[in-house]
This record gives sequence, C-alpha cells and structure tokens, in this order.
Amino acid sequence: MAKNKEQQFKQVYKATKDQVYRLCLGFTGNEADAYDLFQEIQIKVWSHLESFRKESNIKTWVYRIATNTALLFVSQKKRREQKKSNISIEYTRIESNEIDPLDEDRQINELYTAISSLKEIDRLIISLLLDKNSYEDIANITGLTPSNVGVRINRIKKTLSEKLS
Amino acid sequence: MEPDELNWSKLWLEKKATSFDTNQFIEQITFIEKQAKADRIKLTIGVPIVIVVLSFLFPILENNYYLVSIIFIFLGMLMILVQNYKNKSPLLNGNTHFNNKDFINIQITKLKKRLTTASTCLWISAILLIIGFNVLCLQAFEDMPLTFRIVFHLLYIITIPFLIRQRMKRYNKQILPLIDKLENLELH
Repeated sequence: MAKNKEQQFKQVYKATKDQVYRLCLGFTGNEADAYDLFQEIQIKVWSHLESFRKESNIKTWVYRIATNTALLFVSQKKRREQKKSNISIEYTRIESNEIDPLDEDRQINELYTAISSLKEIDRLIISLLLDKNSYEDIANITGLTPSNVGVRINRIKKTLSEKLS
Repeated sequence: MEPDELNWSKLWLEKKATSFDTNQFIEQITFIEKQAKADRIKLTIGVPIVIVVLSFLFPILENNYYLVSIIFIFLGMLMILVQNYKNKSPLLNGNTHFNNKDFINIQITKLKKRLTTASTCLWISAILLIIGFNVLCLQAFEDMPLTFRIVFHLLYIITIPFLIRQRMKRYNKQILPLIDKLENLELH
C-alpha cells in the first residue's frame, strides 16, 4: 500500500513538476520562495494522493492544489518560516538550454519578475495561460467564468506588456 | 496567439523544475507523519495521566470536594485538548476538490468559525478549570491560614483568564490578517 503510494506520487511528480515549478516561480518571483512553495505543494499532493479520483485529470487536480496553496502562501509566510526546518531536501537547478543564454535568461527573469508583480489571481491566470491551458481549463481551476477569464486575460496582457516595455 | 503571448509562452516554458530527491522527500514526510501521530497519542494519554496522578494525591472517592474538583479539571483539560485537535487538523483541506473561488470562500468561513469556537471553547475551559482548582483548594488547604487560602484562590482566578487572553491574542494576530488577505483576493 505504502509502496503503491510512493510509486503514484513519483508518477504525479514526474508528470507535473515543470508546470508546478513555473507556476511557483511566476507567483513568487524568486527561486527561494518558489522552492518553498513548490515543496509545500508536493507535501499537499502527497497528503491528498488517496483522494485523487482516477477519472479526473491529474493535471487539473494538481493545478487546483498548486493554485489554492499559492493563494495562501504569502499570508502564511511567517507561520511557515517557523516550521521550515521540518523538511529540507537538497535540490539542483536545471538550467535552460538556449543559444544566447545571457540574453535569454535576462528576458526570462524579466518575464517572471513582471508576472510576480501582478495581483495574486492574475499571476495564476497568466501562469496557466502561458502553460498552454485553455480558457475552459483556467475557468475550471479558478472558479471564474470562461468569459470573465477572457476579460481578465486581456487586461493582464496589457499590464504585462506595459511592465515589459 | 498574439506575438507577445507567443514570445512570453516560449520564454515561460524555458524554466524547468528544480529537481529534488523524491526518495528523500518521501522518507522525510513519512517520518513527520509518524511524529505527528506520536504527538497526538502523547497528548491524548497525557490528560488521563494527570487525572490519575491528581486522584492519587487527593483521594477522590473519600471526599466529595476532591471528586467535584477533579471532574471540573478533567472537563476543562478535555476542552483544551479538543481545541488543540481542531487546530492541528488541516484547516486547508479541500485543496483538491474546489476551484480557487470556492476554496477561498470556504477558508474564510472556516477561519471565522474557528475564531468563534476557539474563543468559546477556551473561556468555557477556563471557567471549568477555575471552579475545579478552587474547589480543590477549598478542601486541600482547609487547615491553612485564611490569607494564604485567599491568595491561592485569587491566583487561579487571575492567572487562568490571563493565559486564555494571551492565547486568544496570539490567535487573532494569526488569523485576522489571513481573513483580510483572503477577502481581498478579488476572485469575484
């Protein structure tokens, strides 16, 4: 049973780690906080793994955990710091592989920083959009109507363009 | 997709997850789960142990004062224990089943309810403990000078509400800003 849970967790982790990490980085704007949030999400995925219903989409399931955790992340930062020593996993950064790494990295950093300066819910919406989720999926995760998602996306794009120009 | 969005998406997808050791993670989280379970068991057996010790020190079957006081103290401690359990239970359950909007609304309701029940629960337990300890003192210090007895009674009456107030202050400080933050998330 326990081994089964471990296997299931590893599969879920492998399938969703990049999307979750990007969401964390876009939400927090820095790697240290992104890692804390990422870890907190993995703990919740582990704790709720038994409640995952096979018929539902694993990506949506994890996104719900990730976005709900992110929304509470900033508010609970102080309390979390007190508990921080409980889990500490060594991790290694995987660098992006681009032809012009310096310029590319700078642009990536600017984008993530700009996104992290938006309102909390807007950060999540744009993160989901840039990870190629449909308006329907975003509406399903956030609880907004698809038309409301559309309106917000237009507004976010405008704000983001201004911040990046 | 517009050119801007296309470019952002390309840049966005460049970032890959920080890879951590899942085996180490699983090992640590299962250890923490076991520890939390052990803590709960310790707390649960702690209350009966205190009651048993008090029963030995003050023969409850031979004296009604002692019996009444131990019952009050037991109930008071039980209420604090129940409150502790409630606090330890994951407040943020529902991560998986609810979308952000429903999740936030549920959290706000839960947090507000938690504040009210914590306050009620703690004050009831304070009254029970004050009655319990005072009845105990009434009998246990029967032969002591009056001034000494008054000081002890006052000590319980002042100290227990003071401790509860401190705890509630800490609680409010923790929960009220969180409610405020959640209410301002603009998920409407």
